[in-house]
Amino acid sequence: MARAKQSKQIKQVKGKDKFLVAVEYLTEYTGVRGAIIADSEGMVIVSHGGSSFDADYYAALSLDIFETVKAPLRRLFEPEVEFLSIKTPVDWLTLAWSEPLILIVAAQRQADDLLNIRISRSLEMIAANVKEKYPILLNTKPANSKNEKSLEEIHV
Amino acid sequence: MIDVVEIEDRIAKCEKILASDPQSQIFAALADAYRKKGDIARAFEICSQGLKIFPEYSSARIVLTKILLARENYEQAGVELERAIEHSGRTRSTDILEAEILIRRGLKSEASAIIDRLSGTDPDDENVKRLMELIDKEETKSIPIDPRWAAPEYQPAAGATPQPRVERRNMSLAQAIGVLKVMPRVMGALAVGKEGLLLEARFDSAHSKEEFAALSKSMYDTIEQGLEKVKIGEAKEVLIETSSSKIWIQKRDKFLLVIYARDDVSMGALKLKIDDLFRGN
Repeated sequence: MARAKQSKQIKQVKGKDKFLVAVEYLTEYTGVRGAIIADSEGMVIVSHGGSSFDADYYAALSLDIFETVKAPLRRLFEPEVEFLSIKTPVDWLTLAWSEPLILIVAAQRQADDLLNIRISRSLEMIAANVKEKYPILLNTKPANSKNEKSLEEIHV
Repeated sequence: MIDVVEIEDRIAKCEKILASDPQSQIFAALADAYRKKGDIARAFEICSQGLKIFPEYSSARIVLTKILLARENYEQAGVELERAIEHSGRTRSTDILEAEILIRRGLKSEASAIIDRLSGTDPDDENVKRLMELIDKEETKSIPIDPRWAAPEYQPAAGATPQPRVERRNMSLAQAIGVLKVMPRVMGALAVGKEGLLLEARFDSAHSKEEFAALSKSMYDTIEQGLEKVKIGEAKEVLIETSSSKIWIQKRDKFLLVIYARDDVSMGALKLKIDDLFRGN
């Protein structure tokens, strides 16, 4: 059942916002409560989910988590976080970075692991849309990284 | 069968090159030739001298590992192999050497995990067949455990975390961590106590394992605090991916299990192995 769903193509409706298509593609998957695309300051750009899904709250939380995980990783000589997945006994929260945006997916813990494939495809779609419609964003460093040092600066 | 004439010829050529250029890295080949000839003392002397000039020359570290194996100095052979892996990463050859060292040290369960994997990719490999024969011959020894944990009269200090055992396989935590560490593309496996202190670790990376443990615990705690705000329960698993690596933190009953791996690690295989080793912990 889940496999059959996974292979489903992203539906393109002419004129429909591609960011919205990307989040809807995720929320139609079994077990997904909601999906959000937020900017580097935690502001919601587009979201889709059930009535109890508080997109603003999740977006703010996700940015907080990203920021706090980044610092120790730099001490470990690791490059930036690209993907963070958190599983609790009932929930599964995924935060994925697609510069300069963050994709947030809240799902049930029991959702099929193949959801990761949908997340990858949504990220590709988001990246393509940013490149096509907002190329200027790719040339601007996100606000939260303006004071960051490169790995060489930190360790040399 | 080693061709003695060929070895002598190789030694002569290497000696000639080294005589004309004492800074040449040919010393590693020369030392290996002496090892094959059976002159272990000369091989050790040449390799040790050369490594003083080229301490990061991994091939020479591999040769020294083989020489130390021949001298039955298995502990030091393990140390040299770790250094070689640190500089140049894992290869099939380093895995074969590591398996042999583990067998010689009596750590059969850890060695078996490596041999199984090597055999899976090339069952006809003569080196793997030799290791299989060797593992049957060698005596099994227990892994030395920190005496603080092993002593029956030891009582942990208030608040301290006693070292857990992996009940499912009746393995010590050290053994289970060792099994995880030898999985392909795994650079480190750690068990971190509730206070962020290291309980057990096998770690290839240049980072300090103690620092890695503390930072992993710190990341986990931060995420936990964040989750409390949205009330979605306690984090059981956290997976952090960068472009080059993955850090997988799992909350077990008595410790955090932290796996540090390359980005192309097989998460499915790792998950199955962890489930198998730590079920009920």
